[in-house]
Amino acid sequence: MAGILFTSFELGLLYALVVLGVFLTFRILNFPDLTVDGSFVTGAAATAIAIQAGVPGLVAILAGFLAGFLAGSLTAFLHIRLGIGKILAGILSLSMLYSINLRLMGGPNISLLWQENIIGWLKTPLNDINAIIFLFVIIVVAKVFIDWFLQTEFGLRLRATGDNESTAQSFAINTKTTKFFGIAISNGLVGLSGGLIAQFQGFADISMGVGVIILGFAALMLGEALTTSNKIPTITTVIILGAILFQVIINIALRLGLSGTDLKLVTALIVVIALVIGSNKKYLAYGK
Amino acid sequence: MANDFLKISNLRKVYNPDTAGEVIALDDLSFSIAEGEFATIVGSNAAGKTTLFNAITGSLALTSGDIVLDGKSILKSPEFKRSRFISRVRQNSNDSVMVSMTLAENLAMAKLKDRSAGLSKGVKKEWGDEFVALLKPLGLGLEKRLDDKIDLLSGGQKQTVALLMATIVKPKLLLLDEHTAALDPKVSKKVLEITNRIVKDSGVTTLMITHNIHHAIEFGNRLILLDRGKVGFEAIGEQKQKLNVVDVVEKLESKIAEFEEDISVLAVKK
Repeated sequence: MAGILFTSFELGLLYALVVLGVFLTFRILNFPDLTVDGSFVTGAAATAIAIQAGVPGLVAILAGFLAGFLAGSLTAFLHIRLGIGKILAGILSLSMLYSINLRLMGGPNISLLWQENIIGWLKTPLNDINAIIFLFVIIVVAKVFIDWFLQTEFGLRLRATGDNESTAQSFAINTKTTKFFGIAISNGLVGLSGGLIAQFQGFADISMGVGVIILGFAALMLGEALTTSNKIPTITTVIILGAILFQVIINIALRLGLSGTDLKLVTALIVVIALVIGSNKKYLAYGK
Repeated sequence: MANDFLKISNLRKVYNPDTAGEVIALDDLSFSIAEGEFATIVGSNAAGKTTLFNAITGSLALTSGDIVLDGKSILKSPEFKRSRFISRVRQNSNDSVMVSMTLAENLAMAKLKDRSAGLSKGVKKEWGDEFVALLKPLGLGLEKRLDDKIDLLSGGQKQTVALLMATIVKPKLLLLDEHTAALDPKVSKKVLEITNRIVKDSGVTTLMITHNIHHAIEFGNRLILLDRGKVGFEAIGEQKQKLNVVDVVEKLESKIAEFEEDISVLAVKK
């Protein structure tokens, strides 16, 4: 049991950045951004390349953020400048990123085993308590950053854009700019997560991003079920808990005899259940 | 004081041009209003009222014509830039405010209208007293609900907040697009009284679309009747005060009768 908790906690924290990213696009901007499966790998690839080139681990994860940011910019460009629909822009960008990621990595994967990593005195793969503490600090910084960012002048405008784009424009908000930064920062967080995971597992792989967006949705919805508050600092906290809770559920499913290949199905079913409960909440309440 | 603070000249908007479904929404529409005037706009459906507002705010591209506000043509600036100096309150209160945000955040958004957004705190501490001072005289108890999500307010309260948001930074032009039409008569009256007070106190140049002829006559110093994309009838100052509902309805009806005549002529032609 302690083992389950430890692994779940670690993986949960690693994916928490994805969930925070998904929260920014899906909830704040009302933009279901499918780029995530691609930008996650782009972030991992950029981090892996940076580490191989001898860049210190901390700088390397920033490369992951930047790569994700650029991947998000691609989707934002397709949607905002070229007027392609939200979902389609994400799918197109995802497809392009598949090729781009392979180019970046020069092959389907990059091994980082025994390379220097984020915490210089540890060797990849990381599975040490120090690594967890380090990770925890990163997540807290990311959470505090988002909480702060969404209360700034720009953050208010970003939220208004997601609330009602046409009304936002009548409050002198350039919704092209707010959407661009929202999508780009969201994917930056996803890329950061990809880079960290590459370091923790010791490799970057072209297929590591498959289903990450669904994982993000599942963790987001699990987390949101933990509170009725709509205060942003509360929500960012519960969705991080949701990311950890999600890993606990997955771990239990594995112990119950499901195979690793079944997990995407389980994940998607969690999302379906969350969506159905969400849309029926008010009717369930009337029934009481 | 310029007599043509807002100058609408030869506005033309044609939907689906050169097709069987061609509709002329604005047909060489021209009128001017002076700074500080409060004009009410009436007209039957499809008279072009909302199209006119959309053209002024920039959410709609015109076929031809020009709109000059305070000596400058505004047609080249995109909607979000025009809204720095043009405010609009819509009919649906959920389109006038940001429903997922708090009352204080909504007011802050309106305060931020005429500046570029930075990374300092959005809801400034020093605005707290100002917001309270603004809300308290309304007598709706809103000053105690600054941290509530605005969605928790009633439709009338939301529209009142929307009015405050539209005028908290005084715009050059205030557009009211049937902003009380979705409210029940009592609340509608109250919101109109607040509207009248805000407009008078701030002296902001205002256009108000309404379906209620009583309101169109009671409020403002000018009445413009739009008919099939043109000014069908206009009354100013004393002339407007002498109007009664029957006059205006007759004007409306005579226009509609003409229109029906046109249609029957068309039918005969076929």
